This record gives sequence, C-alpha cells and structure tokens, in this order.
Amino acid sequence: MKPPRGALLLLGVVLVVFAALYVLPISMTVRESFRVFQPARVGGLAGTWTLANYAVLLQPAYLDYFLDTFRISFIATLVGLVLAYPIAFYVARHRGILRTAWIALLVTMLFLGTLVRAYSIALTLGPAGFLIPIARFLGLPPNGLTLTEMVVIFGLLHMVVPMMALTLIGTIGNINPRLEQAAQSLGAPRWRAFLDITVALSTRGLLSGFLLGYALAISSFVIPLVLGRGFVLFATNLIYVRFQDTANYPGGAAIATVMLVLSFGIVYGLTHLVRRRLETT
Amino acid sequence: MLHTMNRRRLLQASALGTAGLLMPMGLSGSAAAAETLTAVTWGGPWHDGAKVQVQKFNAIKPISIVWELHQGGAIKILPKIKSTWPEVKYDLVNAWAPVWLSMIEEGWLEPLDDLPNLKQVPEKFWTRDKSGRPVTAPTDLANVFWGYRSDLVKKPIKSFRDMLDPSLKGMIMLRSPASYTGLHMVAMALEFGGSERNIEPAFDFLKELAKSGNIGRIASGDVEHINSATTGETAIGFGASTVWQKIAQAGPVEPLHKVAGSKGLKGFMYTQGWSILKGPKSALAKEFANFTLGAEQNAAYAATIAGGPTNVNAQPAPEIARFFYRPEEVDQFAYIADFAVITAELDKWSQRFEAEILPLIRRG
Amino acid sequence: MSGTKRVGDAIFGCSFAALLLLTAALLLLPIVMTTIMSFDNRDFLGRFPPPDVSWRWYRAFFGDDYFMTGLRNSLVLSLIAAVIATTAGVAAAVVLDRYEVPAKALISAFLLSPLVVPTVILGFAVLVFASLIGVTNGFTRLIGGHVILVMPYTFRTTLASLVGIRRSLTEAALILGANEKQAFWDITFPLAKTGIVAGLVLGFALSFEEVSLSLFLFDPASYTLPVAILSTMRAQFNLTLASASVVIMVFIILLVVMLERLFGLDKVIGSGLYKS
Repeated sequence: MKPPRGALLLLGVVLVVFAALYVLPISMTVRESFRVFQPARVGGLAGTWTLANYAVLLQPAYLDYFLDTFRISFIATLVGLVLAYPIAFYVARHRGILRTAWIALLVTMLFLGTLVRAYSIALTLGPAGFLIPIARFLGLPPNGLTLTEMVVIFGLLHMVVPMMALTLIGTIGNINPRLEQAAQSLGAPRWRAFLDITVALSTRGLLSGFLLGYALAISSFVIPLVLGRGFVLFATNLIYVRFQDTANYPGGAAIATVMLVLSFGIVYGLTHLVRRRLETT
Repeated sequence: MLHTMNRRRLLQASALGTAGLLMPMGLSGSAAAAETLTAVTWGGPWHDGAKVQVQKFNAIKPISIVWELHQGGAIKILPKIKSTWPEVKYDLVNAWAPVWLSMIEEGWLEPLDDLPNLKQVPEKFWTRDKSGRPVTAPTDLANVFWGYRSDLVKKPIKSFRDMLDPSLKGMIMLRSPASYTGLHMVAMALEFGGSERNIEPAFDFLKELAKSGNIGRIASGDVEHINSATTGETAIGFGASTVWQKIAQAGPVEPLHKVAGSKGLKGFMYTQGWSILKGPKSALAKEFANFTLGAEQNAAYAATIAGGPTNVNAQPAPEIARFFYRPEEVDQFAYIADFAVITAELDKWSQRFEAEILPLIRRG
Repeated sequence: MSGTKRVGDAIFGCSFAALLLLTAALLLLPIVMTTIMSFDNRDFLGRFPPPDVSWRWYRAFFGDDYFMTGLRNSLVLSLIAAVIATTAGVAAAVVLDRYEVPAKALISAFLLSPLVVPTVILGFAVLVFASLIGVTNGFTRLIGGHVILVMPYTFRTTLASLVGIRRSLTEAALILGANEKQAFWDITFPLAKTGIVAGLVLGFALSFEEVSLSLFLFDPASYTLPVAILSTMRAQFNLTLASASVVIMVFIILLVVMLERLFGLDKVIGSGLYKS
C-alpha cells in the first residue's frame, strides 16, 4: 500500500526529532575529535584541526584496550547465550509457579539495573567477600589480571543474561513444540531433538539476541569501572577519563569515534555475514 | 485470572501514580523563607563538616543548601560548569589548587578580597587570580602522603625501593594519575632526582613497580582506596590525612611523611576551601564563605575532616598532629607542588600511564 | 536400545535442570550478599561476615533526602521518556510496517542504531549539543537523552509484534467497510498491544537504571537515582549503598508484583505463537 501523506508526515517528524537529538550531537562529537586540546582548559580549541588525537591511539597499548573490550564482551555474551537459552526454553515451554518465578526474576533483574548489580558483585566478589577463597580454589593471584577479568565477565553476564533470555522467549515460543516431539517419536534422543530441531530453528533469534547482548556488553561502562580494579578498562572508561578527569574532549571524542566505527562495523558486519550464511543453507 | 487491561485503566493508574509522585515535589517547593544555595563538596567527612557549617550559619541567617558531591576528584566539576556557563548551577564549589587554576583560567571566580575573616588566614594560603585578587576562602590545610597499614606487611617500609619487595605481591594501591593530580608520581620523581617538571624518573620507577607485580589495584578516588585498605585487600597507598584517619579505624597506620633523609617520601601540602562562581547569588555565598573562615568554625571543620586549620587563631585538633608537622619540621618534610605545571602536564601523564604502565601491570 | 536412550534423556534432563539451577544461583548470589551486608554495623567496609548487625544504614538511607529525591526524579523522568519514546516508536513502526516507504530497511536500521552507541558517548554528545543550543536545564537534557536511548527498543518490539499480524486481517476489515483509521485502532492496535506494552515497560526499565547517560546530563536540581547511588559510592565510605540497593530491590519486586496483577507478566514479555 502506498503511504498516505499523513503517515509520511508522521514518520518525517519522528526522523527529524531523532536526527536533532541523535545525529547532530554525535556529528559534533566527531568534529570535536579533530580539534586541538589545550591542557588546563576545558575542551578543544574552536576552529583548529589536527589528527593528533587519533595518532596517539595507534600505540599498541590502546590496541590492547580495544581488543580487551571486544574480546571480554565476546566471551561474556557467548557464555551468557548458553546460560540464557535454557531459561528461555523453560519459560516458553512450561506452565506453573516455577515459570512465573523465573519471569519475575528476569524482569526484576532488568529493572534492578546494572549499577546495583555491579555494586552487589563488587561486594560479593571483592576483598570483603569471597574473592580470596575463590582465588585460592582456582590457584590464581587474587589481585591479578585473570581473576579480575573473570569478575568483569561475571558482571557482564548479569547484565546480558536477563536481556537475552527475555528476547529468546519469543523466539522459542514461535517454534512448534510438536516438531521436537515428532523427532523423538522417530527415534532421536531428547538432546538430539533439542539441538537439531529447536536450537537449529532459533538461529535467527540466537543471532539477534547475541548481537543485542554484544552491543550492550561492549558499551558497558559501569561494570568495568566498578569491577575492573582500574586496570581492566573498556573503551568507554578511557573516554570517561578524558571527558571528566582531564577535560580532554578532543581525545575522548577520538576514542568515541573509533569505538562507533568499530561497533557499527562489527554488529552490522556480523549480521550481514550470518544472514548470508543462513540464506545459502 | 482475567487481566482486564484496557487503555482507560492504564491511563488512570499512571495518572494517579504521577500525581502522587509530583505532589510532594510541589509541597516541598514551598519551604521556609530560607534562600537556597547550591554547593559542591566531597562526600563523607567533608560533607559532614560542611553540613555543620551550614547549621551554625543558619543561626545568623537562614539558608538552605542543595548539595552535590564530588565523585572522587573535584576536577570533574569543570565540564559541568562549562556546559552551562555563563549560567551557573553551583554557587559554592569546594575545591583545591589544580581545579582553581582552571577556573581562574576560564575566568569563573568571584574575587573575595572584601571578606573580613580572610585577613586571619596567612597570605601564603591565598590563591590569586590573574589580577592578583584572592579568589578562594581556604578553610583547611591538607597533607597528602604515602603510608601503609603496618599490620598487613612483614617488613616496615622506609623507602620506595622497599616497595619492590617480593613479599608485597598485590599489596600496593596505586592512584590513577588524575587522582590528586598525580602527586604520588611527583613523590617518586623527587625520590629519583626529578620533580613535577621532570616526571621521567617517576615513570622509570613505575615501570619497575609494575613489573614487580606488587600493584593490586588502581584507584581513582578516596573511597576505593579506603575500602581496599580497610578490607585488607591492599596495604600501601597514597592519600590525605582524612583518608588515613579513616583507614586507622580498621588497623594501625604508619604514615610516611616524616621519613628522615628521604627525597620523595614527603607530605604534599595544599589548601582546600570554598570558591564562589560569578553568579546572581554570589553575595550570599560570600557571606557564608566568610563565616566558615572564622576561627571557631575553622577549627571545628578541620577537626571533622582530620585536616589542619588555616585561621591563625584556630587550634589544630591533637589527634591529627601525627599527620602534620610542627613549624620547625615543615621545611624539611613538606613539599608545595607547582600546580600550574602539573595541570598543564596531567593529560600527558594520564595517557602515558595508560600506554606505558598499565600494560605492564596487566602482564605482571 | 530404549533403555540407554532413557538414561540419555534422563542425563540430559538432569544437566538441563542443573544448568538452570546454577544460573539462578549465580544471578541471586550478589543480591543475597548485599542484603546481608546492608545490616553490617561497622562504620567501614570490612570482611564478610559482619560481626554485628543493625538497622543503621537503613536509618541513614531514609533519613537522607538525597536518595528520595533521586528516586522521585527517576520515576518521573523514565515515565515521560518511555511514553514519548513509545509514541514515536509505535508511530514509526506502524508506518514502516504497513506501507511501502522508500528506503525502508535503511530507515529501520537508522532508528535502531542507537543500540550500538555506548551511552557514555551519547551522554557527552547530548551535553555538548545542549550547551550549544542553550539548553541548560538538567531535566530537559535528561529527557532528550533518555528518549534516544529508549526509542530503538520500543520501535523494535512494536515492529516485531506487528510483523506477526497477518495483513489479511486488516484487508478483511477494509473490505467490510472500515476506513484506515478504524482498521488500525480496532484491528491492528489491539493485536499489537503486547508488543507495544512490552516496549513501554522495557523502555521504562532501561531508562530507570541508566547511569552513564544520566551522569553527563544531570544538574544539582535534577539527578536520577542511579546517579545518586554512583555519586555516593564514589564519595562516601559507608554501606548506605547496600541498604539503598535493598530498598530499591524491594521496591522493584513490589512493582513486578503490581505488573503481574495489572497486566500479567505473560502479556508483558510475550510468549510467541505456541503457548504450551
């Protein structure tokens, strides 16, 4: 159906407001990344142009920080997907009080928010909590990098699992349970039917959920701030230091721009890649 | 159970809910005839001390304060002020030298040369703007230094070299360069022949320290430091007397600000206090700032924050004496840093730390 | 043969249940810990378990106007932002779904793109933009930022549920004599309600808990609860945080119970075509 003028106008209004609140500010930030930073002043000098803010990011240490952001988030999202799927499966396929309890838990966690949970994890897995016994159990130094990364991943799990589980409930709900039963009646063991039928049919939803979780994880600020001990840093933390501590807006804007380009590239690239794969099978 | 969700019920519920929430907001708006000022200071003892100041001031003139707390470093307030300038959201800002320098550079501060009580504060504690007029009401002297919890280390520490000892794995709390504007690094520089003008020796030592694996955490604020020390996660750190006083509640503290013969283990002293942004309420803000400089207020506040008073007629509290100096010790052990140099270099130090030192800490 | 398969099935069932149990434990552990520590009587953060318990941090929390004001501001802000974002998101989703709009895929991707933008960047960008156009009111800035944050979610969920509604239903209504408006409000909208409500609730929740965005945009008169918590965490040396967290948790649980009564959580989260 061709859209009536009213509908186009409505869409146009939404897009214009969106552009004003979103595209303009972001493009200004990108513009800021090319300005010269004058120490002891706040922000960049108007009317200047330089590539220095990007040049500093070519040092290997910064490559490490970006790699960290994407690597740790990837691990957390992958593990989170494995944990979230059974939850979504249970909720979609069962009735009863346990199911309601799970839904209540997921919704509560969502509303509770990242900050409260990050702080709770800091208490639980911090020096006042169970960090030392766990470190001893795993044979790792309590203040070392590996354990800290694990704690950050644990924090990220808390953020992505409820989100992904809620998204996947609809996906699994759209898969006919009779298909799995049919497979079983044809002789397949339960786990085979589960993997080959239900999981295989949810691939689109899995991808969508994964990307949503991944996008959330790489943009995470609070979790590495609270749990990272100051040396597990995400790109967002580096940006924050520049915006808030040293008032180096151009430097922060440069990292922000790189982060935007990388995030968009990875999310849309992955989507395109997997869609291609799905279409050919 | 039938869930009769229709639009009417939903709208009713949300209307009632919102009305219920907004009502108290409307009611509280019609508070007493007290004028309202917005003030920013650090949380914890600083906030407590400031609230007492306000309470006492209310006896003379009723005011009510909307508080905002510094999130760690006071320097974070600068972008917020800049984003609305020339409209000011904050009337009083409690800060210290590096922050004041930027504010002076931006031209935000109200001159305070007409404050009567300011004359009772020695001029060496004043901060002046570009035309030479004082623009701060210095309420306390802070002393920042390295120290450690003596019950958590095997051998007493008397120098920076001692911090490299293998028995101290993960026991050092290092500050981020933006914390205290890197004074802990200036200490290291001084130890090995440099200063805030030549920070290279500090970076050389930091590399050694990072490789030793003794650094347990990098804190960007006092709260992280205190929590880390009181739980025993780390033992050695760098902080103000207020911080050490708090840590002392959990275990015995050995301050390293009076180490004979040490070039770097000194006490870095600076003033903190109220500064007033040029705005419509600066007259009332000045009255309040003047009040806080009075001898009695000054002494009480200093005692609360475990700092030194600035008014010559105010008596320092006896329990903080061990974190400060007798007059004859000041020349030997205290160091007044050049904050103009530091604020110009801070961004570079911060980036070098990220690029050169953090990777070594992570690997070690 | 069927014997081993039954054992295999049993093992699968058990490990499945075990995994669920483990996940539940992992998610609940920090909450339990925080609740216990909120009763710690010490004036500083010490090792677990607390040697002495009291209500002091709850007294501190309730006696402190700071958190109460933040809570109120958060509720109002998130409600307004969610309503605006839902209106805009639903409008865009309906137009894009029902009609042949040029560059549909591009517009859709554009409206979803804030999902990929870290909120720290969004917060800074909106702050700078606001100061440039002279908007200095903290609450206005917050609304602007939060609407952008929430809109992709409302758009996404509405679109997802609209896609599931068969076009033949609308066409049938039109054939039977209804006009476009009636067809939308009487057929499409009721069927899409689940998605729209889900988007609204999700948007509210995400706006309510958002901290890094609000951190840049607040001012002393309008700060949100997460900002109050984070500021306190970085500024204070005590456990008021733990008691604040527990109070928030209780509040959230009550909210969830209320949601279940008013709407039924099932409707909120959507259960797909094959409800078992």
